[in-house]
Amino acid sequence: MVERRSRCVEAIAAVLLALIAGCAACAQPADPYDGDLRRALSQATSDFERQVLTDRRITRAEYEEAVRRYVACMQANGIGFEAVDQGLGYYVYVETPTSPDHNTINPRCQRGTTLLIEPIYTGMVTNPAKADPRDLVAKCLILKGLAPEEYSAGDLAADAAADYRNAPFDGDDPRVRTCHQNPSIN
Amino acid sequence: MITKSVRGNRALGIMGATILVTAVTLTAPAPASAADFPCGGGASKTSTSTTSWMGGCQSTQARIDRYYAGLPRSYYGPQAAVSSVTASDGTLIGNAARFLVAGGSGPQWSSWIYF
Repeated sequence: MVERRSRCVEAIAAVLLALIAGCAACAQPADPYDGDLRRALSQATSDFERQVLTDRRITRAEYEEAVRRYVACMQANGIGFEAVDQGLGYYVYVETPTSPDHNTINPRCQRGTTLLIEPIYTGMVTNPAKADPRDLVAKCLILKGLAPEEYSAGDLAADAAADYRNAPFDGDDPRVRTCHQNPSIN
Repeated sequence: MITKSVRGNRALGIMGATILVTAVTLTAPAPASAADFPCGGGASKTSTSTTSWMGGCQSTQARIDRYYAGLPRSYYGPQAAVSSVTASDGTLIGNAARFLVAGGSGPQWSSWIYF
């Protein structure tokens, strides 16, 4: 009888311990970008950035609004500038012709619009788990049959340092470029 | 005669300066070495793409400059931990990257580093 009670107490204690451990895990931020979002909020320089970052998430609509404000600012300052959607989950930018005023105007236009929002949003889209980015690209290259099974992040770093001259793939292959631009899409 | 000679020398000087300016304008800046990238960041390139890695910086941005339809044109990747941009129109002028470095008065971009 005593032995049975003792086992019961042990079982209850084990369940309680598991619950406590579970709650500790719950207290950890689930979003790997939470720290970046907090830092960005502390560095915000515009009401727009603060409004976007206060809830510690960035929606697609908020990202697109940041890009729209940035591009509008560049254009208002006489730069031939546009955002282009290449189907990668984020925008790239084209400037025609290359402006000698870019370096003066660009930081002013990024400040308060995309400077803090874009890096986090792009990271969330291209690397949602915040894994080692080179590891992600290496795995993408293997998955697409462009690199051998044993190809690693270290191999990629070495190949990148040599501008892919000795890589087992053609650095200009569109599939390789897609792996670099967004390794999380197939 | 002396005046003509001076005028001739001036004309040659102007021509020389024009050629020099044109050459400098059309030539991409000198390549950087890996050591030139701040905070342990890095970059790689092909004839149609640039990719940069932020290392310990706050973010990075890749750039590729091309000459198309008689005009220089720049393509910019996103500001990101890894920024990559591709373009294959016209001819290549140069590949560059820059890095956002944390500073006392807020993060600041490095200059564009051609490599």
